[in-house]
Amino acid sequence: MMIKKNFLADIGAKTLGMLVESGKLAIFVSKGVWACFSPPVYCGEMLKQILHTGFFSIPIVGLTAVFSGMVIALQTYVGFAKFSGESAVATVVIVAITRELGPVMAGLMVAGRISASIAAELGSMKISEQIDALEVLGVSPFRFLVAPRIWACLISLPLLTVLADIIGTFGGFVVGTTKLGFSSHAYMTQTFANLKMEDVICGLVKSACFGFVIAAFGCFYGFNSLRGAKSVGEATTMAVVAACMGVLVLNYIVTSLFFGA
Amino acid sequence: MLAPVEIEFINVKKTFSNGAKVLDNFNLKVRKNESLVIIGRSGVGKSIMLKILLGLVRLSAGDVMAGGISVYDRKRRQQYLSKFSMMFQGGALFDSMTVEQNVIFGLMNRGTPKNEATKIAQEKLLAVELDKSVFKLYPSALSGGMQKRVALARAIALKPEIMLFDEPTSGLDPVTGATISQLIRGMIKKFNFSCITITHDLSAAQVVADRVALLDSGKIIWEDKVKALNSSDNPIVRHFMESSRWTKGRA
Repeated sequence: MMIKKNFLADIGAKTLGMLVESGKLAIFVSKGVWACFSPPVYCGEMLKQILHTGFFSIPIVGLTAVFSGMVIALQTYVGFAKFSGESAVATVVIVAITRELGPVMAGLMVAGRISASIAAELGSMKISEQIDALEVLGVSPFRFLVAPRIWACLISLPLLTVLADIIGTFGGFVVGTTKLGFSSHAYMTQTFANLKMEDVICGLVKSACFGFVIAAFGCFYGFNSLRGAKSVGEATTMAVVAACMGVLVLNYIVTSLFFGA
Repeated sequence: MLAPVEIEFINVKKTFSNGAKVLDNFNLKVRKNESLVIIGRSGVGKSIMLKILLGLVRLSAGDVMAGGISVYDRKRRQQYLSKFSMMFQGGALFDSMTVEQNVIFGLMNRGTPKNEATKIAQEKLLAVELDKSVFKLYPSALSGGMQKRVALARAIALKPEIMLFDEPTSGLDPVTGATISQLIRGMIKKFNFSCITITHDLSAAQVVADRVALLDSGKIIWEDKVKALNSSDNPIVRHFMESSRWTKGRA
């Protein structure tokens, strides 16, 4: 009986804790969004963040995309050969890359790289009182730290997704033409015939949403770090886990909004 | 005639969400151009008190006034904050900025044009006895004492009416600590700001303070002129003095 009571109490405490955390997150995000649209705008800080989030993520996103495109081409060929559908390889690659793999792979890679980096940086700033120092200097930490990171992710993720789409398609093209025996002309013709603007736009919308959650979770957990290196480590882990989950959940929501019956 | 009151804590209470009571009916007045040092054991809420004064930590009850403005007055928040500068315990220098940029940043945010801000920053960095060769370095390349000097330069560059020092000599060797205390005393004389310093270091307190107060159990339990520290019959003050002498003797 006692065990049952403790079990229920634990569930209750966890539920309340989650509600409190959700409330804090909602307040934090609304403050962050407000900071994005209210002056002053720290352009230098924003450019620095775009460089960090976008430019320096190109290698990791590019590598992921090229191999994803190559694997999709191979798998499709092997699978479709069972019912003589090999000719559809280029179609499957372009649809899979633009609709799903491009935005999701870019989102997950940036979620791992950037949300961790944001949470660790802001967490260290919090425990070394740099965020308090900003306030004393009359600088809003939301405008100086959160808004540039949100804008940077919102701008960088769609650009990285376009890049992932191009590189992923190229990966499929390389495998298709060198290993699977397609002529480059036939492969490209089929690719362009099945490249739909709707798919590309859906991917870009998704990636902008991913950018927002990556920045929001990174900043939220960084700002809420407690004292000590352990706390910064925990904040970093939480930020990465939450950002990756956010990417996957939003992926479903946006997909169902665009393509749902 | 007594100078007007610049800072006033009125029946301030601060209880954390875990039930820990830090300040309990805390009352304190600091007069214009006065230098008050607050001493007390670790964990009695000295740093929290400064953060409450700046509005960085919310109080549970009571009010705090600075220059006639309440910490609750959100409409005059910028005006309220513009009265203050603070030198944080660890310096709180921005890692991503050079020494010079750390000082310029605060000035530019308060509307000083870049050229003028650069000139003021260089003047203040020289005033805290820093060499020009460190201006372009990042804080991580500086020693603890140098970081405190940069933090002091950043704080005084803003020409505050009220200066707050949180453990200005902590983590420094006695010689550097004494130099920082002398620098602070010099700045207080030169710029005439009202000032609250929090420290465990009684030798620093004796250099910096006009008046000393002891915080314990959430309240100020003793306060007097700095000269009265040696002759106080308050047991906690005596204990502090004796521990300080014992530590010095051991050193």
